[in-house]
Amino acid sequence: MIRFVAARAGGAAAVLAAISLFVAFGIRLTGDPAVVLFQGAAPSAEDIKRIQHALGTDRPFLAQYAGFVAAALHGDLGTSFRSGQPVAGLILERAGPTLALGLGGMLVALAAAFPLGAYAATHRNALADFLIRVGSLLGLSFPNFWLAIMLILIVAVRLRWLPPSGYSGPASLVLPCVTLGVILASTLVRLVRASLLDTLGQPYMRTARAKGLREGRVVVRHGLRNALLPVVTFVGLQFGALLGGVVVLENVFAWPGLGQLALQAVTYRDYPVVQGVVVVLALGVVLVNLLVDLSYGLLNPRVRVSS
Amino acid sequence: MTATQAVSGPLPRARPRHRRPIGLRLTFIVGLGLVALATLSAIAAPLLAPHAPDAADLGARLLPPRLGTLYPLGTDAIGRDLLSRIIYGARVSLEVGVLSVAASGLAGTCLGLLAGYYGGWWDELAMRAADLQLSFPFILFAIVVIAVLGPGLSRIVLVLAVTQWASYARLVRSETLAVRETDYIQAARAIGLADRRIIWRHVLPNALGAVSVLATLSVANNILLEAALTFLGLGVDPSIPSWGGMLADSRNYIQTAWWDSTFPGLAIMLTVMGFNLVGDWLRDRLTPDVA
Repeated sequence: MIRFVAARAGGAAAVLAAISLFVAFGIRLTGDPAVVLFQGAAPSAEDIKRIQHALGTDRPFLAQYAGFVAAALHGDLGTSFRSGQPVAGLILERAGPTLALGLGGMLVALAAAFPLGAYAATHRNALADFLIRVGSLLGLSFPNFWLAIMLILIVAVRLRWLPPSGYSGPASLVLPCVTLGVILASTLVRLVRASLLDTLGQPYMRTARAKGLREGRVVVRHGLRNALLPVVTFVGLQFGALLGGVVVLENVFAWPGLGQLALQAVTYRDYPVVQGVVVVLALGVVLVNLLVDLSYGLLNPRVRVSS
Repeated sequence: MTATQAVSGPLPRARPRHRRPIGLRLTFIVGLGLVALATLSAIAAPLLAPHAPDAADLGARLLPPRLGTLYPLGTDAIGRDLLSRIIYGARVSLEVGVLSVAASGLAGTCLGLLAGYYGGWWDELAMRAADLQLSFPFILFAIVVIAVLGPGLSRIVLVLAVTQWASYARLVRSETLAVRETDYIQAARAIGLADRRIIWRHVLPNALGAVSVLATLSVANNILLEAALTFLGLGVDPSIPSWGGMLADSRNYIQTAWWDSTFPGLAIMLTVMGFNLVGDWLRDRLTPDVA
């Protein structure tokens, strides 16, 4: 088990290192921050030199990268070109709304997908199964931001039940989380259904029934439990995709999260912020993937042996 | 596991084992119809569209949809015909969808074939690179690449192709591994066929079924991703009519002009659904070992 954990943790660290290198290198290709800072004014060569020296961008790339990593490990992600504030502070400020949206969406998705998927699997080819599958197909075909716009149009603009956008209290959470959740649930429901159908055909299900267990207990205790493994992996791997949804929906709902921070930073060419946000978000995704990997090893001992 | 990994093992002949329920054929026909509609719009846009997509009629701004008038689906904030823009918008969506899938599918399939057939350090290298690529969150990759290169149609295709080759490589590799040791490949080797011929004639056809399923579903997914990136301002040029761009433009008028934000989204949804339906049907026919 220790070797398994070490191997997976090493892999995660390598991924994170590769991503941070990519970002740090890429960002430096976008132009000299010293020139960008002058925003169109024509600075003298001397001014540029001075600023490059102050920003540390006159050093070789690897030295800059090493400096970035060393500082980042102490919680210092540099300062924003635009506002002069520390990037770490900006990120902390915005992390709450992003986490709320991501976790809320995931909760909505799980709460919807499990009962629906289980129902569809146990009533295979019935009308409800058909409807659930059509619903999931629709959900897979909706652009998430369009679903958001439609919900704003109907629920917020026409019916005036909920605020259309912004981050202000629990009511403002409903629309973004539901939008994110519905999209995610569409994939998840298919997976729960397929996975449960798979376990329902196993011999141990027949055994459980032959033992005289009630059908509900058979499905939940023996069926769903075993169907859980692929679903857990999938949910974990979805965090990267979930992040994509979060970035888009933050934009639609004027949500003061990390995605908005990164997008604005790209527009203003605020490289330290882009770099900081990307590395922090990547860290989050990589950590979740690592946790899923490890929990999968715990749940299914065969995985440990084969790796 | 993702669908990519679930599809493994040798593929049986592409013949249904038993008759499929009629609903399945119906969904296929609907899917094919939707794909055909989008394709026709993209190819014949100048013939189908009643107006030029960027012809602004300032006297007819934000007209509501009314059938039988000059502007059956209404107009946008500067008086451009929504229907014509939607018809032209199919071009961007299909171009990005098809080009990105062609590029990533071709690269991934070749890498997967070589990795699976020859194994060794090349296999190890390709698969570690694939792992790395797959654990890089797409949206972060897109943000960085667009920050470096700037937005534009070719950049979107590049971002999508670079982030997706790994799925094909893994899939094709597992298909290749499954047939590599079979008797007929051994026989082909024994009679002295060149590796290249074995790979092209005997290994590749086994993987094509699974690849075409992944490719079809990826077109659907990539159309969604392109629309989202364009909506965020990271995608195609705003001067080109695109569904994501139209939705971005419509946001300021959401209170007053519902049609402006409804119809472009409907176009995306129907097109994506078409590819999803065809992809599901293909999966059902070509890879029966997947539930």
